[in-house]
Amino acid sequence: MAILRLKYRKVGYMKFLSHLDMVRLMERSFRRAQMPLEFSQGFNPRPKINFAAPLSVGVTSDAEVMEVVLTKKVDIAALLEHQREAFPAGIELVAGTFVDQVGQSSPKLMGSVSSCQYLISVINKDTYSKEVVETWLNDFMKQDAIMIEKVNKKKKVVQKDIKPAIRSFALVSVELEGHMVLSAHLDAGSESNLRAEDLMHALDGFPGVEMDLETLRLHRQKINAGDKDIYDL
Amino acid sequence: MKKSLDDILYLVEKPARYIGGEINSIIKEDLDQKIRVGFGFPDVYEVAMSHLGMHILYGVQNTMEDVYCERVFAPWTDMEKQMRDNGIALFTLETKTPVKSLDLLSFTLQYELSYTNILNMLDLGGIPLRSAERTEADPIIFAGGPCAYNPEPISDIFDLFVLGEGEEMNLELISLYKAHKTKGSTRKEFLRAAASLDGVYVPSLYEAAYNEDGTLASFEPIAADVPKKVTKRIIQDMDNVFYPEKQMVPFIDIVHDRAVVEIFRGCTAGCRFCQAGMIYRPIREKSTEKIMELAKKMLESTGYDEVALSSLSTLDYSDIENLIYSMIKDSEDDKIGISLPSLRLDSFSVDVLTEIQKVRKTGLTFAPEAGTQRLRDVINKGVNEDNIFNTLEQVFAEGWSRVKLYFMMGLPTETYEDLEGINEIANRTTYLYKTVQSPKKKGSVAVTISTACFVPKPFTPFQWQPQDTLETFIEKQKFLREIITNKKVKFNYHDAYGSFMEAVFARGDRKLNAVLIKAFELGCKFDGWQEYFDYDKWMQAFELCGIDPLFYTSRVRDVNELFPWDFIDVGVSKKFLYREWENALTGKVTPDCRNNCHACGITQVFESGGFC
Repeated sequence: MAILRLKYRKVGYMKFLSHLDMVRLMERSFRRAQMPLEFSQGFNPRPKINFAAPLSVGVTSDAEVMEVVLTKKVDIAALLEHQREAFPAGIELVAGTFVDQVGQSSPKLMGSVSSCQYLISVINKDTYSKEVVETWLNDFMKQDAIMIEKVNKKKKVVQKDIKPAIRSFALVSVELEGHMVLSAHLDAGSESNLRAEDLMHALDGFPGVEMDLETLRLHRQKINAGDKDIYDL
Repeated sequence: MKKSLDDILYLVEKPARYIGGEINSIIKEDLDQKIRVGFGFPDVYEVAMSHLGMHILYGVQNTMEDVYCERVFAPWTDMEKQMRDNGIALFTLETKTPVKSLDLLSFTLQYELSYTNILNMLDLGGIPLRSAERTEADPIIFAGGPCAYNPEPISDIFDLFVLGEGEEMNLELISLYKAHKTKGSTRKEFLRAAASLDGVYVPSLYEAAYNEDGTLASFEPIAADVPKKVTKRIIQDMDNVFYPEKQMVPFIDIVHDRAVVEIFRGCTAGCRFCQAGMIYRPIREKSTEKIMELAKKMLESTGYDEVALSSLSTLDYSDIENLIYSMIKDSEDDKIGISLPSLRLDSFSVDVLTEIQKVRKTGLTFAPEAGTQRLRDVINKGVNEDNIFNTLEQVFAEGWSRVKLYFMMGLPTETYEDLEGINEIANRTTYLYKTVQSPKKKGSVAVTISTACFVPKPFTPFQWQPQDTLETFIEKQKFLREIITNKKVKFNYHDAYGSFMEAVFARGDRKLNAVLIKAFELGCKFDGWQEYFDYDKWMQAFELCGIDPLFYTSRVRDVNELFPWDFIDVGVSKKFLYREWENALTGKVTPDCRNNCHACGITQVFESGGFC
C-alpha cells in the first residue's frame, strides 16, 4: 500500500466544478491513468481519495492537495508528465510525493488544515483610490468584533464574530474601473473556519463600502497546516 | 452593463452544464478551414449527455478531418434568461461559437415534447424558425431520430430530415454540403441535391393536399427528380461500424452516467404498441468479441466504473449468457459494475441480476404492461401470469423486497376489468412476498404500480387507433386510485395532459407547424418537464390556429387513410401492421420472429441476414 499525495491547480472552467464533481473526476482520472487503486472493503468498494479542503464552486486554486491510496508505488514523474492524457484541461498536477502511512488508518489530511490564503478580486460600484480602500480595510479591521449572521447546524441564525479568524486582510492593488484585488489569510479547519465569501459580505456591509458582490472572484493560493503548506506536512 | 459568459456562469445553477472540456470531448484546430457542424439535443445537459446516439454521431462526424462537430444543448431556463438579458446567443459547448455561424446544425428528435425547445434554441441562436425564412447566412437546419419518422408536424422548421441510422448517411450529407460550399451553391441548390441522397427528406420539395374532412388527400414531390418514397437507412455490419470507444465523460452527475456499449439494434419481440420495435428492424447484433473489446477500451478511455449493455431488449442477445459471464469475470478486479437497461420477466433475468448486483438490493422494475392476459395478448406482450409471479417469487427469494411494476393505460380494447387486473397483480405480489421462505428476505414488501398513458405511434399496428380522451384517462386514474387500497402498494401515474400532446404530434400533419410555433410564441418550452408543461397555453395555441387537437388523437383512422408518414419506408409494410392490428383484435399472439418469420416486409427492403 502507498499513499500518493498530489498538489494540483484548479483553473479555467474547472472552477465551476463542485467538490462532488471533483471526487468523481479524480477517481476517473486515476482509472484512466491506470493507477493501481486501493479500494475500501465492504459491499460497495470505493477508491480511497481524500482532499485537504473542499473548494467552493467558482473558486480557482493554485494549491489544492489530495491523497489517493494505491496498492503499490508508481512512477510519479511519469504520472505528471503524461497527466494530460488522463486529466481534463484546467486540472494541473504540480507535484506528487509518497507520504508515510500512519499505521493502517486513513490519511488525516483534512484534519491538519489550519488556514487558507486567498486572492480576492471584486469590482466596486465606484472608482476609489488606493488610500480610500486602505482606510476602509483599516477601519474594518480596527473594529472590536466583526459580527456576521450564520445559519448553524440546527438551521438557526446565530451571530458570530469572525475577527479572530482573520489572520491578515490587505489590499494588493487597485485597478481600473473600480476593480480591486485583496489578499486574505483566514482560519480553516474544524476549530475555526472562515470562508472568504463571508468575509467579503461582512466588508460589503461596512459603512462607506460599496462593492458589487456579483463580481466577487476568489482564488486560493495556499492551504496551510500550521506554518507549513499542507503539501509539505 | 452586459455580462460575459464567464460572469453569467457565476449566476446560474450548475454552471458546469455549459463549460465543455470534458474528457474525450473533441478539440480541433484551424476552425476556419473546417465544415462546422452542431449536434443539437433539445433538452438539458444531463439528458443530452445520457443519450447514446449523441455520442455515436458526435464521434463519427468528427472522424472526418475537414469537419468539426460540436455539441449544442438546451440551456436551462435560468441560463436562458441570463443569455437573453446579456445578449449572449446560443453557443457550442466546445468552442463557444454562436450557432448561427455554423454550416449545419442538427437536432435529434427523441420525444415530441421537445419540439418547443428546438424553436427556443433556434431563437436563442438568432436563426429564423421557419426553413422558408432562412437566408444564405443561416446554417442548414436538419433533424433525425425516432420522431423524424413522422416529420410532418415540424416540416416547416427543418430544411431537411435524415431517416434511419446516421453513421453513413450523415457523413454523406456533410460531404455533399462541403462540395456545394466549395462550388458556392445556394441553399436551394444544396437542398435539391440532398433530396437525392438515400434517407434524406427535404420537406419543401413535397406538397400535401387535404380532403374536406382534414385527412390527407395526396402527398407528392414537386418535381420528377425528387423521390416519391424515402427509405430509412440502416447499418448492415454492426462489428465494423464506427463506435465511440472514447465516450465523453461529463463532470456533473447525469441521468445515465456510465460507459455504454450497444450490443444490437432492432428487436424481435413484436410488441404491438412499441414503435422502436418496428422502426429499428431488422435485428443486427455485434459479436461477443467486439462487445468485450469495446467494453475494455471504453472503460480504459473513460475511467468509468460501470458499463451498460444497451439495446431494446438486452437479454434477448443471442449469446447473452456467455457475454455476461465473461464480462463479470473480466471486471471483478477493477470493481467494475455491469448494468442492464431492461429486464425480462423470466428466471434467467433474475439469475443474471443476482450475479451482477451483488451489492445493492435496490428496487427492481418489471413491465407486464397490461393487467390481464387478454390485454397482454392484444398488445403481443409475450408474458403470462406464470412468468410474472415465478419471476417475482425468485426475486423475493433472492432478497429484493421493492419492485416497481410498469403498466400502460388506455391500450386499445382496454376495459375496467383490465385495470382491475393491475390491482390484482399488485395484491398477489404483496401476498406472494409473505409466502416466500428465504433467509435472504429482509423487511416488508413495497410494490409500486406505475402507469403511463398510451400514445399510439406511427408505424405500429395501433397507428389507426384513437387515444383515450383526457377525461377517460383521468377517470381511469381515479378508478385505480380508488381500488388500490393495499397499504404496501404505491400507485403512480403519468400526467395525461403531456401524453395527449405527445399523441397529437406523434401522428400529426403539416397543419401542426403553425400550432407549434404559436405555442412557442406563447411561452411553451421544456414541455417534457412537468413543472414547465403548460396545457392551457397549448390549448390557446390550437384555438388561435383554428385546429382541433382531437382530430389527431380521438379519431379511428380508416384502413385506407393516407397517413402523413406513409411516404417513408421503414421496411415494415403497412399491410403487415394492419394484419397485426387484426391479430390484436382477436388476441392472436405473434411469437418472437427470431424463430419464425412473420413477413413484416423488412427483408423486401433490406438485404436479409442474421435472423432475417
